[in-house]
Amino acid sequence: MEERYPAYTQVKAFKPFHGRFDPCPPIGIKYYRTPPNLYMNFQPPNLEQFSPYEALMRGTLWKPLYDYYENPYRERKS
Amino acid sequence: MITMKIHTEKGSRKVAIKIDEEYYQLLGQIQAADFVLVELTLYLDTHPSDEQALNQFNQYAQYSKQLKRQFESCYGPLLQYGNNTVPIGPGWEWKQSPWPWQV
Repeated sequence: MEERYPAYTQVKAFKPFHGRFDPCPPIGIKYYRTPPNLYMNFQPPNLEQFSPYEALMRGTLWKPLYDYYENPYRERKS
Repeated sequence: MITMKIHTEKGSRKVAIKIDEEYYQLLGQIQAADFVLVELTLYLDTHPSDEQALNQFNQYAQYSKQLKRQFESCYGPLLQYGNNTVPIGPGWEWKQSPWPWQV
């Protein structure tokens, strides 16, 4: 199912400053989550819904509020 | 299919409560229906006058009750303390295995 949502990106990233005398190696890129509910002020009525079982699996009943998670740091470990 | 052997107690429904595929399938449906009810409850807290959601809530409440009645008729009680009437035949059996965490 092609995800029409979200209009906004759900993951954002930034690069923390790494000084010359920093004791630890640079982390590189850090990610933070911006789920859809941040961009939705008051939930409008009649939002599109998942089927009951799918809602149970995805953790929310409302399609626009679904926040898919994937560990962005995994590639770094492998 | 796991057949749980339990000591035969006077009045217990069947010697063993069969934990088969249909048990999990029905339990999954109950969980899905109850999750929809939880979500709709939270939604209705902030949108009390949303007709469409109210109808859906009532519809799912009925659906969930019907699923639970069907489940309890085959596999024994889901909740205790009078959440369901205890059928006289099988008698008092909520303490028989499997317990919820064993399922």
